[in-house]
Amino acid sequence: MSGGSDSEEKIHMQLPIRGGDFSKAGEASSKIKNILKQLGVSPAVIKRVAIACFESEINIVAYANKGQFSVDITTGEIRVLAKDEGPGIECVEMAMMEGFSTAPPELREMGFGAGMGLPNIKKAVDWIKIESQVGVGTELEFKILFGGGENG
Amino acid sequence: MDKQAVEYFHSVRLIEEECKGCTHCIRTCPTEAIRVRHGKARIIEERCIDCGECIRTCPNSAKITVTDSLDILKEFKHKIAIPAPSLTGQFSSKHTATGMLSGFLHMGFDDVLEVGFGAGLLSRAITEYLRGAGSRIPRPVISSACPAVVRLIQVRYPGLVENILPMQSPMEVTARYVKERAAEAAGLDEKEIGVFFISPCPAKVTVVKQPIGAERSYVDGVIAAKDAVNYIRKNFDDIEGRKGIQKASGSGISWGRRGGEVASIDISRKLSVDGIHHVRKILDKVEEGGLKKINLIEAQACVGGCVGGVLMAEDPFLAKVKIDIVTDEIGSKNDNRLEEAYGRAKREMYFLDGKIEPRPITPLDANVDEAMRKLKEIERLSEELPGSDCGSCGCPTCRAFAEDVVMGLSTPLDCQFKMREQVGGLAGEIHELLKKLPHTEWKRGAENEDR
Ligand SMILES: Nc1ncnc2c1ncn2[C@@H]1O[C@H](COP(=O)(O)OP(=O)(O)OP(=O)(O)O)[C@@H](O)[C@H]1O
Ligand code: SF4
Ligand code: SF4
Ligand SMILES: [Mg+2]
Repeated sequence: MSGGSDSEEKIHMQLPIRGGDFSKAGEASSKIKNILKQLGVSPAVIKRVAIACFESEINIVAYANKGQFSVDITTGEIRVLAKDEGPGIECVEMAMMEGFSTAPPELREMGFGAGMGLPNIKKAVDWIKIESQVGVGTELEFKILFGGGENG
Repeated sequence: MDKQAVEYFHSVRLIEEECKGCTHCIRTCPTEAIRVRHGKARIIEERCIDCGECIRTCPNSAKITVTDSLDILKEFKHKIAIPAPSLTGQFSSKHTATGMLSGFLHMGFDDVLEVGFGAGLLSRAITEYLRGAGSRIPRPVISSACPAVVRLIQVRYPGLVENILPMQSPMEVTARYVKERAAEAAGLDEKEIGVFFISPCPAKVTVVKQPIGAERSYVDGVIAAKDAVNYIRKNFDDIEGRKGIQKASGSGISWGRRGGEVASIDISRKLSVDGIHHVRKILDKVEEGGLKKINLIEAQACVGGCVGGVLMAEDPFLAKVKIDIVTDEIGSKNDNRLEEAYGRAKREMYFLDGKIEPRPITPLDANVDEAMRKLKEIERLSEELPGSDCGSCGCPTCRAFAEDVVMGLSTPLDCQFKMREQVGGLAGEIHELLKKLPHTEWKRGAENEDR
């Protein structure tokens, strides 16, 4: 397969995510996952994309009112901008730490709240940027290269 | 990468004459492997995992399982039946476990050993392995016992093949155990011994003909459970019980129903899931990085576990109760014998001899650029389709239809809605032409200009 990056082909998608609706949580991630499978992206890379997408989708569902994924796929990489309207994150640095969580008891009952979502996203991606404004919302953007196999 | 044409064996087949093209099956297939073409529900071989879901839903009995007929017994000098654990649940209380097993001797077999026996051995081996060397397998470990689930992972979750327990199924363990013992005891060559699995499902037929992670199967033929059950029920009064024929432990037999496998393996944090669509939900979670704290997942394609297999005769929920009654009766009666056998058996017999390879669906194109272009086309076409997944195009969903169109397997006009649009457009054009024609003088060449 040619992993050439000088190609023109690009795919752009907007996938809306509803806050609070756990029955639909994971649909956007699932869609992305299936598309990458159809493109012939390697299973190891798909796994990393799946983890990063799912964790950010769940965070939007769990904490925000509504949000969306803007996805850009080229022959060499996938870039996802997960943007939401919600409470925002007070201290991003803290939120990125393993074990930090403000998940309320209801969420913990559903098995969330280990404080591992953001750290796991960070481990899965090749590039990450997170910006948040309290009372407005959060923008999490990440990139995963298709060329790489395992990632530390 | 060059994709060679690989030939797959499938035990699930369509009887064309019986198929009415009703589209029931295309929706229930977990891998979207069925398309109705020219009025017949054809199976895309590359995608089919032989789960039998389409057999279950077909109202016309047009989908069937190909199994071996009893005639194949004649090909062997010494014939051994190995009934699946789930078979225990197929009989009423007057048919004792001993009676059921003796029925196979009446059928013409020389010997019989329950697969529940091998399941008992395997339970010990898995426990030992997962506590030792197997602690290195990524969590959650997924059981390899249900071949439909293993195929599903190969085809749809290729990234999860490394989570599959690299061990043989109870069927293979039992077959190998019994064949090697019989060869020794009767002084026969292994080729003269025929081992026959009495199967709950098509997936087991397929895995015997096309083993996963193994060079060959020790099973020589597969017979449908319901055929054996009917025979034994019918001839029961003539069957003479043979003492000591029932050798499996209670926990080994319980593998025949959901939850039995995880219960018999002595490690913590286990999950049991059944029904192929639910299995998919759990595998999605694992693929998204979830369930890492679970040590072992027992995943079975059929609702209720193997008692729900399509080749079974009894209702799966009743069959489960019956299995539980029998396993209670057996209790720990056979445990000593099993312990002794476990001590003697070679450890390598429990392990696969090869790796389980991923078998991902063919990408849209081997060239990434081209694949991207096709994907964009699919997205665009999907937008134009009604999204009602009506099935009249012969595809399970509008999206699958869009894929087929872009791959050149369908044409847009196979969609009723597109067809109507087109007809509507044509009608409009005709109307315009009708308005125009009477007022203009016919000139040659005008029709060409119009196009
Ligand atoms: N989109 C978001 N909007 C508001 N707050 C967020 C958002 N995403 C994360 N957070 C905050 O960051 C914290 C850490 O998030 P992270 O995903 O790492 O852990 P978690 O969601 O609490 O638990 P886990 O993901 O392990 O179930 C959250 O508890 C929450 O306070
Ligand atoms: S056996 Fe299962 S995978 Fe194969 S066509 Fe039928 S429903 Fe689909
Ligand atoms: S659950 Fe059992 S009966 Fe059903 S497909 Fe799997 S192995 Fe066969
Ligand atoms: Mg989270």
